[in-house]
Formats: sequence, C-alpha cells, structure tokens
Amino acid sequence: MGINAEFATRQATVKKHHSLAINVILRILKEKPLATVGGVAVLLLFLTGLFADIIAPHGYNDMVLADRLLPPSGKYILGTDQLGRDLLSRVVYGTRISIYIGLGAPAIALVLSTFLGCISAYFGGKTDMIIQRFVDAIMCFPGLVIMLTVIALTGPGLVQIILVLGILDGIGGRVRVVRSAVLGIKLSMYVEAAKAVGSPDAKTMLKHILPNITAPLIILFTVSMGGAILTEATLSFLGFGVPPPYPSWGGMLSREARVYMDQAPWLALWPGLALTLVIWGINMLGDGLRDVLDPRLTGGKGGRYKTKAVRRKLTS
Amino acid sequence: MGAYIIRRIALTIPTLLLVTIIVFMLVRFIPGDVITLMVNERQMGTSLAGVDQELTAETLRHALGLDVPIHVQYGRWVSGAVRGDLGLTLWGQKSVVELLSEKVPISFELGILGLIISLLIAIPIGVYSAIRQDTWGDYLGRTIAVLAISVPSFWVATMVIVYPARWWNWTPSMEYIRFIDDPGGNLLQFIIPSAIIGMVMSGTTMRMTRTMMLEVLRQDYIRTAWSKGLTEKVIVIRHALKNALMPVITIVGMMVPMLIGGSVILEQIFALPGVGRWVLDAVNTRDYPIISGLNLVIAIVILGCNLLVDLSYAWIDPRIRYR
Repeated sequence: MGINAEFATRQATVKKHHSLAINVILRILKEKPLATVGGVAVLLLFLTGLFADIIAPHGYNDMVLADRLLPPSGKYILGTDQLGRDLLSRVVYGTRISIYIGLGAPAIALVLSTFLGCISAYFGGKTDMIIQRFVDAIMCFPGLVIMLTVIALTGPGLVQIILVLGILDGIGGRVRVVRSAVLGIKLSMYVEAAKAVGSPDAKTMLKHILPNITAPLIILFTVSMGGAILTEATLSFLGFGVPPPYPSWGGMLSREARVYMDQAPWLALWPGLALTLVIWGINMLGDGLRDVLDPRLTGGKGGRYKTKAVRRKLTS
Repeated sequence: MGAYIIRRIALTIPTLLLVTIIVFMLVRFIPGDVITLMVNERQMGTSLAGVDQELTAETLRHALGLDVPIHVQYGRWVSGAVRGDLGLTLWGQKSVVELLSEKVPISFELGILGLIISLLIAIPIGVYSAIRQDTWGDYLGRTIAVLAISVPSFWVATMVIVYPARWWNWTPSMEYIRFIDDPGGNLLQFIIPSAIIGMVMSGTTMRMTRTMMLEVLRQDYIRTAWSKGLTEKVIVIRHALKNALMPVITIVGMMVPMLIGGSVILEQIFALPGVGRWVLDAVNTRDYPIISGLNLVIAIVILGCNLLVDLSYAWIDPRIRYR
C-alpha cells in the first residue's frame, strides 16, 4: 500500500464520525461475524413477532379436531398438537411472549439497578452500606423458589411475570455491576468539576454520570434479555407462566408435550429449537457488543499473547 | 483466619433474618390460603364419605397456630429454628426437619454431580480455547460454550426422555433407587440429570476460564516461564491456570442458586424425590413451614458457598490474608 493510499484511508477513518449506535453497529458488522449472525437472529425474532398475524398460516388457538397430532407435512409444516392446532402458528405467536418478556423485564431491571447502583456508589457511606446489605440478602434468595412464590401470590400472567422478573433482577446482583461502573468514574475530573460549579446531585448523576456508563448498561441489558426469556420459559414449563391458550414456548414444552410425546415427539422439538435459537442469538450479539463497547477489551490487538507465535520464536 | 470466619458467620445473621422475614410474609399473602384449601378439601371429603364436618376454619386456624399475629408466628418459628426445630408441615403434621433430611441429600447429590461434571467439561475446554486462541478449536469451544448457555435444560431433559424411548425403546428409570439399596443403579439414575445440569452450567464457567487464561497468559511471569524453558504443560497448568482460577471460582460460587433452580426442574422431569418437586407441591398446597424451612436451608447453603469461595482465595493465592 502506497503512502498516499494509506493516508487516504486514514483520513477516511477520521472523517467517519457517527453517533455511538451507528459506530457500534458498523464495527459489529465489520469485525464480529458471529455477533452479526446473532443480531440477524434477534432481528428475525422481532420481525416474526411484529408480523405474526401475516406469517402464521392459522390462528394460535384454531382447533381442528380432525387433524389432531399430525406429523409435519405440507399442510401443517411443523405438525399439529393434541387439539389440532397448527404448531408453526403457535411457535410464531410464541415469539411475541419472548419479545415482551425479553424487552420488558430487562427494562424494569435496568431502571431499578441503575437507580440503586448510582445512588449507592454516588453517596457512599451509610446509604451504600444499607443498599449493599439489602442486595446481599436478595442475592442469596433461591431465585426460582421466590419467583414461584411471588407468582402464586400475583397469579400467573404476562404482566406479572415481567414485573416479577424485572424487579427481582433489578434489585439483585446487577446493582453491583452498576455500582462498580459508577465508582469507576465518580472521582473523575468532570464529575468533580460539575460538583465544583454547584451542580445538584440529581443533575450530576443524570447528565454527567449516566451518559458515561451507557456501555455497561447496554451490556447488562442484552445479558438480561436472554436470561429473562429463559426464565419465563422455565416458569411456563412448570405451569407458573403465561396461562393457556396463549402459546408460550416454555408452556408448549410442558405437560401436554410430555403426555403426548410417544405419539407426537415433534411437539417438544420446535419450541425448544426456537428458544435455543433466540437465546443463542441474543448471547452472541451481547458478546459482540461487549467486545466493542468494553474499553478494556478494545485496542489490544497488537499486544495479544499468542502461544503459537511465542513458541515459534522460542524454538527457532 | 478463625476470627475472620467467625466475623463472616456473624454477618450472615442479619441477612438470614431479612431473607426469612421476607419469605415468611410473602407466603402468607398468597391468595387462597391454606385454611380455605383445607376446608374445601374437608368438605369434599365429607360429602364423599358422609362424615360429619367437625373442624371449622376457626378451629383449624387455631390448631395450626395460624390465628396469632404474623410477628408472633415468626417469633415462634425463629425460636424453634434456632433450636433446630422447623415446625410441622401443615398437611399431615410431619416434622419439617425430618422431611428435609430425607430430601436434601437427593438434591445435594444431583447438584454436586452436576457441578463436578460442569467443571470437567468447562475447565479443559476453556483452557484449550485460550491457549489456541483464534484457531478452529477455539471457535468450536466458544460455540459449544454459548450453545450450552442458550439451551434450556428442561428442553434437553424432555428430548432425552422422548427420543431414546422412540429410537431404542429406552427410558430413564422413573422409580427412585436409593443409594444404600443399589449404589450403581442410583448413580446411573443420577448421571443423566446431573449431566444436563453440568452441561448447562459449563458454558459460563468455560467462558470465564477462557477470558481469565487469556489475560494471565499475557503476564510478564508467563514470558519469564517461557524463557526459562519450561514446558507448555507446566506453564499452562502450574503458572497460568492456578492464577486464572480465582475469578472462575467466584463465578462457580455465584452459580449455586442457578444450580438449585436447575435441580428443581430436573427433579420434576426425572421424578427424583428431592426438594425441587417438594417445593413446587408446597407452593401449590400453601404449606408455609416447608417453604420457610427450605428457604432457610437454601439461604444457608448459598451463604456458606460464598464464604467457601472467599476462603478458597487464600488457598489459591497465598498473598491473600484474612484478618
């Protein structure tokens, strides 16, 4: 590459000054093939949920009793269940539950954990102590047992599950993550400066601290998405989730699928595959995002330790 | 060290109190309380058998000790718990401690086996992924790790029950075999559910191992070790892995609640009479003493694991001293 060409590319990279979001997306597309695939899977999930009415060939609760427990065929691509409902349509409509849960619960968790974490780290001292002891207590709750109890209390339903998952996630371990992120920048110059010019605490936190912990917050959000979807599926599987007839993937895997598994093993196959694909996609995307956003993991390309290279150097 | 342990144990007491109070209150607010359920059942029973219904809701409430204010109930429960008595179950009036000592070992066996299997999968693959970074082996290892995190354990379990039955006419035993009666059969019965738990849990550990190994392998002392002419095996195992293990152990400790959650589901699917199925029933039948007792045990286990994790730091890294 000639010096001119190199100069030109360097200028080109300097010129590209996009907003954070576009920058991140471009870097993922360029550098992270697996994260791109994951992102496509997540995008597919959203599109399927959005256009479920168009994609699904039947309604999610259309029973054709003559067509009970049919194997996959031309008419019913994924087969039918014990009530003659089209499984493809049920899986397609099931995406909606995953989307609601996957966005709703992490959003609530994010707001709560950011609020508690910021306050805990910013004020320190007694406030910090009390909040952290509380988080300790929440963290040693047996998560699933508590969720079962709370859902028995509120009754099963989509909104209840979103609230329970979101709140339990938001006051638990994630507070620690936010807290440590805030502790990291609390003593930086710009925060000191803001305090020095008399900016009130709330304003300092909102305008100076919050924008600077966006990266860990985004990572936290994506990580919670997969977890929330999986937990909802687990709860529905145990019969504490979204009540029938609305199809939830976890619910579809539960008792009906296990009662009829001898005659119709495909009943258990599709919802599980859908769940795995979606959670895998979210995890891959989350990994890519973390690599791109976490400053500790970027810019280290040259200094990477390579066993092979070192060995070659040593043996030569 | 001794003083440190004692202080840590003392610090868990307020946490335990908080946890038990929250659960104690929570279960009593579940709509359709146990008295209503019992009275309904009794009415059904009497209409079937034609027996006179002697007990009313009030006498029942009094007999079960649920008629006093909630803080008095909690006080009674705590003073019993301190003396190792967790009360009687509401349905059947059996000792909760006795039932726990029957069921906890089953879940414990499942959890420990799952943990061992997860470490056996995770650490070798994680180390391999790190020392062969960006090779096909590494990509394969990472893909396995993310898949392990993404696959729901209850789905794998369902598949294990459905497909071998169709293809080879083989199903896992649904009859619980006690260890004393038949150790081999017992282990064979536990191996599949614990392998599923181990597989699901291995993903996180694997990724943590890889990340930490990558970090450690770039340290100066590793370069020194290479230049001393040590073999790769010695460097990787003795120098790198030992230093990379600390965060890995932290992660493993943090996954104990997950382990317990996983056991609940797998016990349900594989018909193992451990605490998992029991707690589901207890929530459904509103058997408060069972939920409270089990919650206490689980909280103690989790806090104990946290303490063990912290203590293991000193064992791995002799520079750490506890005061």
